[in-house]
Amino acid sequence: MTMSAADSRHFRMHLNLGPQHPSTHGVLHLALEMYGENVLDIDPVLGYGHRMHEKMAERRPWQAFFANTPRIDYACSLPHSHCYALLLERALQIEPPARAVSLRIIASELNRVASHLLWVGAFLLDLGAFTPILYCFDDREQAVDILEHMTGSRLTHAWMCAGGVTDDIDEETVLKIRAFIRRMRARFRIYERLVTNNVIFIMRTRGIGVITPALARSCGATGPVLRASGMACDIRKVAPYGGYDQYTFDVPLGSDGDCLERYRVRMEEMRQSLRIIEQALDRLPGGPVRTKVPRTLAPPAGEYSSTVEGARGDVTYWAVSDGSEIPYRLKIRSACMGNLSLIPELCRGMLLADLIATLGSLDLVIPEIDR
Amino acid sequence: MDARQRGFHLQVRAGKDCLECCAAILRDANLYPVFMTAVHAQPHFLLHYQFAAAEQNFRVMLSAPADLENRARSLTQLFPGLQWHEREAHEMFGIVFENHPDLRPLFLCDEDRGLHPLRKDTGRLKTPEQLGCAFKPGTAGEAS
Repeated sequence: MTMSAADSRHFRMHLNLGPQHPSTHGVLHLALEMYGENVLDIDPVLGYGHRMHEKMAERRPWQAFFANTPRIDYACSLPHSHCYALLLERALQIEPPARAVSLRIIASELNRVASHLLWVGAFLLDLGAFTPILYCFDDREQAVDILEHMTGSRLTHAWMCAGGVTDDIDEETVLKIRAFIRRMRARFRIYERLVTNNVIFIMRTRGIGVITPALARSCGATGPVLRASGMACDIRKVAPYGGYDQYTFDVPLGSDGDCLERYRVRMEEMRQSLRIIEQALDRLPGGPVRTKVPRTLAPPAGEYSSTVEGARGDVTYWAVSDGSEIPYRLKIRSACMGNLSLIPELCRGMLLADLIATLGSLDLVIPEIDR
Repeated sequence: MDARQRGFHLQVRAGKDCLECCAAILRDANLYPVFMTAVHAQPHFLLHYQFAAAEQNFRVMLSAPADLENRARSLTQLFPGLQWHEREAHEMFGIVFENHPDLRPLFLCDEDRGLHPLRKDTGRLKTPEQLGCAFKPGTAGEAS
């Protein structure tokens, strides 16, 4: 911390928040210009988790990139794999079997619940409440255990592939998922009592970090951040992909666009995800989980794009093929980049404590931005 | 063009000079910026922008060529959210965006300045025709 004191009462200082600060969720570095407790200017410094996934894509066959997709967003990895699988299926005109379509939705929604649970715990930890994260991790552990049983790994689920998924699920997993849904519905009542109606929590979040729809749109913010500002932007509803149009669920919307609304939207989203999983289990079709695809995939030359709703918003993969078995260019659009890019505009003049609350409410996974 | 096969509904190929007016139309239509990126091709870089409507199923790809000195107009005045995307394209490809407020590297460290890791070796370069993204500068618009 360096200080350039103009006079003793009013001093400006340069403050480095992160990259090792616990409230920056991984490796975000914010170079802050402070005036006492108020933030004058924010400069996010990125790249600590930069792995150059887009270059890796240009050096390996199309289907080999399925090992990379879960590693981009480790907290909610299945939507990334889903997006890439849809891109390849779109380019090669492959139709995955009905059972695989349902399994993908079940796993993606379980992953969304796990990701939101992680967020609730971490967000409240940022606000100084230690207890909720213990409850959240208890619940999240159940979801992660089920996903481990389904996909073989706890975080980086390399389970989806072009033409379906690699492994089927058994009856035991179905029972475990149903037990998880029952358990979660009871747990939401605990969260209501513990967090939602907590006075300190409400005072720390209501009216803090208000994002207007215009600001969100100009910065490309999506997902729960945009929905908390009252815009019904959910790719699952707006541009249904991978069979989501077959399910009944609501898109929870906020109105104020503050931290409290973002919390409410995500809590309600978990309930809706459980609804989707339940419907998918009720009418889970039989049959194979993978169609036969050629050993080497070579999409015809051209541009292809696919978009899914990740836990944090619009995840888009865009590829250019030159007709060979290796991508010519693959662009990965992460939702967090748009969500974080409004921070300098949003938080100028804010108290440092409110900046922490606002950062936490955006649900940032920095390696997803760095790629 | 089939949106189910491509994943977007409208493809606009703009000349270098009409990129900004095309983007202004998209901004006035209340679209949000999804991403901006470049593709290294012969003889010049291709710039690709994707925009989408928040509450409707509508996605646009806007493409334009950079000039032979790797310069292009910045769209950050219209879409502040493209600032980081253009910084990324600047460090990864070496494209210079005119009127960009702050073209520092975004992800790479200072030692990697000027490295441009997403550029391709000369032998691997393809022309826009080979990539299925041929440009006819000055003409715009191909609706589905």
